[in-house]
Amino acid sequence: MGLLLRPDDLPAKVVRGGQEHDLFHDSARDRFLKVTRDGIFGLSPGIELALVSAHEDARRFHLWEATPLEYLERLDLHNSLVPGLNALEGVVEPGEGELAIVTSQPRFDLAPVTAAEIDAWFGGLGFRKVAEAAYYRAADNLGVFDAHDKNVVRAGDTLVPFDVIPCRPGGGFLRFIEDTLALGHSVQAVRRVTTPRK
Amino acid sequence: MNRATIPEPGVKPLLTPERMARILSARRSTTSAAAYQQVATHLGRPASPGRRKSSVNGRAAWVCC
Repeated sequence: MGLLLRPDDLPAKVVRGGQEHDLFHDSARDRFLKVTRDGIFGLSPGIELALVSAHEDARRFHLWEATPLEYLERLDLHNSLVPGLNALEGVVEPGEGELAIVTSQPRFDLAPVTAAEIDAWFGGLGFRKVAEAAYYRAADNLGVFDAHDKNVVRAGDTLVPFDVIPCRPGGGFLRFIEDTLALGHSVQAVRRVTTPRK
Repeated sequence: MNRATIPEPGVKPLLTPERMARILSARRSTTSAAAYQQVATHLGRPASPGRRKSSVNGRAAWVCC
């Protein structure tokens, strides 16, 4: 297969994964292929400014819809953290001008993990918690967002964050994280999805 | 120097390639049906159908569910 896939290259039946993807299991390679859906390419963290009174911090933490490029950059960074996790299989036009990106991941034995275990695991790797399921490590300016129990699995005595949102924050977003940690605060993420769901 | 122009340090991996190789080699073999069932259990909901392949104007297309 080339990188431009046709619907015929993909199986007739898929199942819905999380919010972002349809899934199918490639038994020959024991990998899950993930197809973006509804023209949505995951989320990208950042801040926006709200209208607030003078004594309030106007900055709000948001998870925005990502562009296709941001989605691919996120997967590339994810591969730097979890080697060999994501492979780009191609892009496909499922119909009606929609573009979908097809990637794959190895299948994991899906052993569940608790939020407390995820907190402890990231803490042991030098991260500080900045929000629910969100962690930041200043040493290499690395943020990991959306690391909740559906996106992380246990593998023996370690964890595998297989569907999290890593990022290298900069500018105002980085200052917001630094200020939040310096004050000992945590923030609550607001998801912002603008594309109508089909 | 402007903060934005400082080169980013490399990231320290969360897992090493050797660790990932051991994790993957330790997986239990399974069927696709069992793999889908594991996903449903993990997500806490039945595996609902995603897009299905259909013919639109004589061409194969995926139709959203």
